[in-house]
Amino acid sequence: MASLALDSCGSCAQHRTQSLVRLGLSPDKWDYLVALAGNPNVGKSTVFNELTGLRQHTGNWPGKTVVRAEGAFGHEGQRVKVVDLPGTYSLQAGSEDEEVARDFVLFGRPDVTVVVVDATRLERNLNLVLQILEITDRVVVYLNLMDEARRHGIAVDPGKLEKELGVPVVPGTAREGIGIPELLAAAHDVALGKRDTKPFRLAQHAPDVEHAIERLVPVVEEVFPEVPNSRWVALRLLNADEAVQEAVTSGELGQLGRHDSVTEMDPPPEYARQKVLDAATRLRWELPPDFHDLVTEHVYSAAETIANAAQKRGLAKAGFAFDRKLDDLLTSRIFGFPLMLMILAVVFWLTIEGANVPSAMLATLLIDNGHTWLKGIAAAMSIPWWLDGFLLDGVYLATAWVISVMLPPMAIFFPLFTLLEDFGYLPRVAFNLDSMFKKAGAHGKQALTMCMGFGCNAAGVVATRVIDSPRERLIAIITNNFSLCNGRWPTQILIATIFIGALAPSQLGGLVSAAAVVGIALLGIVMMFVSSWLLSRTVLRGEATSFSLELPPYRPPRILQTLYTSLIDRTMIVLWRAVVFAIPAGAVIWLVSNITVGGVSLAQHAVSWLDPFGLLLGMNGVILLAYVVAIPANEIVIPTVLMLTVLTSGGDGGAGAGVMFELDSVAATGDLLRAGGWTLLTAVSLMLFSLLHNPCSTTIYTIYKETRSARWTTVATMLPVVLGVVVCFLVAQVWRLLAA
Amino acid sequence: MDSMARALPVVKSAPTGGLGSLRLGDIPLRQEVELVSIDLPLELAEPLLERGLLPGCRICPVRISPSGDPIVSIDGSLLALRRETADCLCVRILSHLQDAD
Repeated sequence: MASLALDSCGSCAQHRTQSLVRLGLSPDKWDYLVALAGNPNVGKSTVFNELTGLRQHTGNWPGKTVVRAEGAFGHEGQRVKVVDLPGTYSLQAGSEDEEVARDFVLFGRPDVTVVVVDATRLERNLNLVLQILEITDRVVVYLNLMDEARRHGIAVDPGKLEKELGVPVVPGTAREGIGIPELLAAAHDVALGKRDTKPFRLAQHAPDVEHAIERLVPVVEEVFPEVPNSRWVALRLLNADEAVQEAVTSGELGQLGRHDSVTEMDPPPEYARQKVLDAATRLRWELPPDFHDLVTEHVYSAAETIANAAQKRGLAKAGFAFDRKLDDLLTSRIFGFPLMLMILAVVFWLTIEGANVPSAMLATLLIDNGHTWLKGIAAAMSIPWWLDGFLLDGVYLATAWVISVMLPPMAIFFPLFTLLEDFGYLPRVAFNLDSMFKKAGAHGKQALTMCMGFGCNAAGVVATRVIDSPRERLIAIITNNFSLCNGRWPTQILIATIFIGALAPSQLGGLVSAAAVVGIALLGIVMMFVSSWLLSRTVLRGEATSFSLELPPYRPPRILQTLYTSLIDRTMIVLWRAVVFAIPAGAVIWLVSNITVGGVSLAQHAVSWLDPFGLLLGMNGVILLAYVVAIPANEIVIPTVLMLTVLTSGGDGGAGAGVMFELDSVAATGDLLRAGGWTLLTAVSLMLFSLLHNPCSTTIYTIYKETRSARWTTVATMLPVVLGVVVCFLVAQVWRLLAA
Repeated sequence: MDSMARALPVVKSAPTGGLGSLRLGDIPLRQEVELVSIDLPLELAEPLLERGLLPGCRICPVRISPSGDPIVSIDGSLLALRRETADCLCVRILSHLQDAD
């Protein structure tokens, strides 16, 4: 009967659909909704893949599945939607991941929640299971990694566990597809209400707590008669849980128990809802101060009792010989750091070298051929020059530049990075670097987001979600821009080759310019540490939180899957945002070079106005203007500088006002720049400023999305610019003093 | 209620200090010990509990990082800790009889 109601109901689900959309779920049609929960590293994503057939990005260290995945499949004529929740150890809503998972189980009202449990670590996994059972009774437990448990001499009795937990328990090995059909059948039955569950609920709390709960429960039940577990709601309200309080205020709590009702009921009147909150506040005063600790300990001791009842352990053999050997090398006192630098150097080398060819191909396709072709069409259609210039020379060219310069390195860097992550190496990097970050008052996992920033700062900012502590996460976000990103490497390499490499004898030129670029990148790392330290001593004061990180066993990376998903997850998202921001930049560049006031273009006005300021910083007005208009994407700095140089110095070889271009040979670019008055100081200052300036607008927007704070977004934007202005000013003054 | 009483020493609010309490930071590599209690406020202890560092569990330091922080093996998985954290974990050495369970 429940299935019929689900199938035939169109309007009733409207409220629920709204809350699902708010939780980030696409509102397609399905018959029932499965949420997939579990600790990190338990093979949750493998189960997801087995269910949906989608080669989904699998996580093997905490917090990796930061973007929730969803998939759909058919089972016995029903359309099933599966949502992969972030892997979490608990649902205390302490970190962003936990909040996402908890909110989804609570407000997303999945028809069944499948909890994937690691059979080799039953006790600690049960902690999460018990917390989920407190919220919903529609749960199926999938006991994964049964093969590993057998190898480790651990015997788990699924029948016994099922009896203790009161919900179906399905044993299996997801990697080999064992137990998946049984899991599907059990989930199907629970979702459609064909199988009743009697979930284990925490019974007796300490007397004081119990007393408060007993008095609050009747109030909750009176106002919200449909609530599935009024004891849990009471406990959360006593704990001043903000999300649950909000659900009471909005009346949403009343809908939670209604899985298959035909009509949504009206929320209880406001005074009744307020009554619940008032009662909770009053009772909270009577609780002992260590109330939260008591409740937490209660959950752990229940998990221990159940685990002991359901499993027998032999002599556990920990670790594998291969893992140990590898760890001996990768986290060794002597080889740990050199190996880490070497691996990162290889990744960067592959990225820079590998990107050259496809970048050139894309540039030929989009700029040389595509632009010419479009111009030809425009001419044939006799479109007015200003529209043609605005659209094709401004908007189109800027977008084309961004795509051809940005796409190939990202398409190489992100998969390589993900392979290292899949293999299990990145948690070791975090571990190796933790002591340095600890000294700076930051979190060890900032090492990972920093490395990610070398690819793209926006991606690095998103990656900071793996850091639990809000203070340390903010530090990681604010300082991520000190990682020299893909968009800035080409500028550094070009300028270093022209002005610094040229100082050395020709056979050493390449080496010297490479060293200069690496020096700039290292300076960025130093700046990152210094500013992290400063932040954690001033505005973001606080102790470094205790750091504990699970080092997952090394697993062979799945190469094709990684290629596919890192292209979807990271590359395309970042590229799309960059393109969105490049379009207005292209428009502005073209407009300022073509709109004239008093016979001189706006760009020229701006350049001559910025020139004295630029000179103070060792640069010139052209560079500063290029940085202002290139805020959307660092990739277009060099083409813009070249265009503006031609425009202002009146040299020839340009492609026209407002038309960005690059020259085929490095030597020609050098000649053009020197003709524009560039010196070695200009080059050094530009390299420093390219490292130390505001993040691109994609990153600024991402920072705002992640922090939801205009204040911290401003800090993250202004801090590097201020540092850049100070550093460039000092360098220029000292340089001129010494030269004089 | 019995289980409550037993569960209470999970987190000690005051360090016992002195010579009597052995800390994980003092344990040599490959010496398996049992966790007695965590000498940290709950909000700092909770991530440790969640990762399996529950009182009564067996811990074995297996490696020291380049900067001197320990990696411990617990429940068959590896956990990286900071030295300060390891110094807050009160442990006791298992005799062979207890070890056999």
